[in-house]
Amino acid sequence: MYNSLKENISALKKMFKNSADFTVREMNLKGQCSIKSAIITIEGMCGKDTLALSLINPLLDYYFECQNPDEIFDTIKNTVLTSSEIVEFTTIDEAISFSTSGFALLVVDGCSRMLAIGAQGFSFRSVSEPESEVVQRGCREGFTEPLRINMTLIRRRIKSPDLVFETVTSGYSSNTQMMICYLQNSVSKQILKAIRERLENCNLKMILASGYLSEYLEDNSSNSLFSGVGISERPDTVCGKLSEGRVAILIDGTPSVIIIPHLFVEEFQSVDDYSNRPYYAAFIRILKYISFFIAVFLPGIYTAFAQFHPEYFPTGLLVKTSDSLSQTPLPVTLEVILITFIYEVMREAGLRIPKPLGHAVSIVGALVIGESAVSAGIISSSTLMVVATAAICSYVTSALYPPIMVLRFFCVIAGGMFGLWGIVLLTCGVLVNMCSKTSVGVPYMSSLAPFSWRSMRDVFVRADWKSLSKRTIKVQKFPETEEI
Amino acid sequence: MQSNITFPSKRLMLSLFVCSVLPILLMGRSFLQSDNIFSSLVSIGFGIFFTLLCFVPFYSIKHRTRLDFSAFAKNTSQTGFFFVSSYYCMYFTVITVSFLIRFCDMFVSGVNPDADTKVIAFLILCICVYGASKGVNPLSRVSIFVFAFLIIAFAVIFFGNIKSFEFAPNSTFVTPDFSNIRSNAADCLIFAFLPVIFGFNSTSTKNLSIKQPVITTLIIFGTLMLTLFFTDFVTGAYSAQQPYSVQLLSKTAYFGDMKGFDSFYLAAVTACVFVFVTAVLISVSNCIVNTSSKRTLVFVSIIAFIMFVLFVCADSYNAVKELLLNNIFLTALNFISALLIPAICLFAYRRKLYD
Repeated sequence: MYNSLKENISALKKMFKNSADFTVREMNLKGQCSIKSAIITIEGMCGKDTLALSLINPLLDYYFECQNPDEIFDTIKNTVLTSSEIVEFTTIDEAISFSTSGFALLVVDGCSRMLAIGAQGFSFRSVSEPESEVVQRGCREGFTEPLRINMTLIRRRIKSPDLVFETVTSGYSSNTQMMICYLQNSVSKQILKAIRERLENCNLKMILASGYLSEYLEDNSSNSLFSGVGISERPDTVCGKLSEGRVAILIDGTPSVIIIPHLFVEEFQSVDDYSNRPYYAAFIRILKYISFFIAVFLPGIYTAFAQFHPEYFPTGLLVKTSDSLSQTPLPVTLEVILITFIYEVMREAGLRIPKPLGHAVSIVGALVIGESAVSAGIISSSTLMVVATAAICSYVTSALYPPIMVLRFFCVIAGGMFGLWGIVLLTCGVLVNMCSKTSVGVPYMSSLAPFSWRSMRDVFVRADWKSLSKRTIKVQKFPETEEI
Repeated sequence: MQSNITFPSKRLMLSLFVCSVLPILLMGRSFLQSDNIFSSLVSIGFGIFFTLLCFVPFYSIKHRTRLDFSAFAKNTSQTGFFFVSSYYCMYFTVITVSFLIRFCDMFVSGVNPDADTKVIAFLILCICVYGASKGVNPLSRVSIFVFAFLIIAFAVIFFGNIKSFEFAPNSTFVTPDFSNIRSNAADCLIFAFLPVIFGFNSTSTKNLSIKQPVITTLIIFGTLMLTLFFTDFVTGAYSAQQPYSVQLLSKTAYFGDMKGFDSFYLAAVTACVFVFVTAVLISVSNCIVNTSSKRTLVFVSIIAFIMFVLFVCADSYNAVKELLLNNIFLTALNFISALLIPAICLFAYRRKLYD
């Protein structure tokens, strides 16, 4: 920074390319001789009331006895300002970083130092329950876009000095601020080190969502259908994962928090399991596993049986199925693929469509496709039933929807071309892929393969809290965890 | 293909058990075609003894040197390793094609007579090459899932026949008769390929103890006996008319009002084929290259292609097929692969040590 106020303002204006939201409020400080100063803000980032109360009014009201600009600067910093967050800095880069983060910058003529005063007042979404992770008995708070609020939501739940937040900036254009969050006494130092290195190696221009970083954090990300990083919008979920030795990455501007390492069995766990009674939690877990298998395999097995192994159907079902299939013009495989494709189109349209038009989509889907197409004999009711059942089951584990959808298509093609043995071979190939996958060195299929009796207490069933609390299984202690 | 991560040798034994279920499920009515329970039991006893005997050299190598057989042979003699690896590539090719032929024969005769066996073999080899590229550790993890499925499949196949249970023994019980032992013994000796697979994949394992191969062998032959008992005694005369008794038995299976559990049999045998062929291809890759390398995938693909070519030859020429399906020929190969060559290598290693 320069000693001259005008030069500092000019330098910053040049860096911001004279942007329209770059605001300068110049003022003369009262004293024996008039000292010029200025407050620089990005319009909309600072709260006007906070600015006036904690910064402008105190400055204008104070009478400065000293004449030396450096002494005036120190007096302002230590005596005048009422803000709780004041940071001193000396470089242009820091000035840019602070101003774009909602800080107000104070410049004094004749002094090369600057102050960043916390006066954030930008608009943000209030804390509310996340729509993608609704629970019955858990908290109703979810993460929001501002990083500091998300940090607070976690800190309120883990009131321990072991909870550590590390600042990381990534994205050479967006300079997105992130926090690596972990529990000092639980985390694996090796996993932490690997995560830091991977974030450093991230050479993205902009980071606008957590998904941008996922591929940098995973091991061999492009080779697997399943994700090796978990995403959550719930602070209670994140806190639970932190206690198991995992690391959370909070990203400014997105409510989704990345949790790694991430395992396959976690997709079937939810906060409700730990609030409900163990027998009910076990029932729901098993239901989720069964739903996953139905979602992936039912259309493929139906296609294989109808095409190659009709004798596998029970007699009554065989009669009804063959009767409905005989009235349709398309082969079973094509019919299943067509209905699945139409369903995916409708689902995607339902996500993007404006709410007032949502009813129209429902009517089109239910009446035109569901009723009319079956009545006209274009598709069979049994096929529609099968695809609909699989679609509903896929929402039981909604986090797994992308791999379920892709695997379902492949199963239908394998079943339609080769029959049941084709589906089995495909399954074996997918199992090899899943069993060879790791998440920051931890086997992705841990608890199941490598099999661990101790961790089975929280896989298909949920043991009671007295058993669970005896010893927390840390993620780095899973067998065959690789050294990275 | 070698990884630095070690896994418990119990899981490798589990993979071997899954591989062993393949010949059990694929056995035709010619398997242990005997009128007498005593000759069957003696044949099984021979099988247990021979299989355990074949484990001895590989176990000894692993126990003393902590290396698999391929690395051990390479350390013993570079020149000898060339011949050893060539021979075992040939051995693994023959044994894989032999079981692929059996699988395809079962498929054509029991599931779909119009199926193109070349397409079946090609697809199996393609998927197995992908599986082999991941290494023995992921395969052993997949074996956990296959094993769980096998338990369900066997339970369904056996208990699904409860409604038509008839204790009608097809074998004479009283008079001892050892006349068929020689022909039956070869059927039981084909399981000796398991120690060879163990020998080539043991380097990444830990906590190996002498009990593990013994218990695994006993469980394998126990499963075989259970299946034979079910075939011979429970459904008796009906099974005698069918070429593949275990599979077609389930056609008459009833489970409440639902019937027809062939699907479990077909799925089980397909999964076992996958594990077996993948294990063999991994053994081939360990035979050729001992370090993780992209070239390994190329070599394994080439070997898989050679397997496919041999399969096509067997499919086209009956003489080749008969040779590959001859249990005595396979037993001879097993004897050379599991006993003779490892014994020679151990002898050469000891001589090198004393020199």
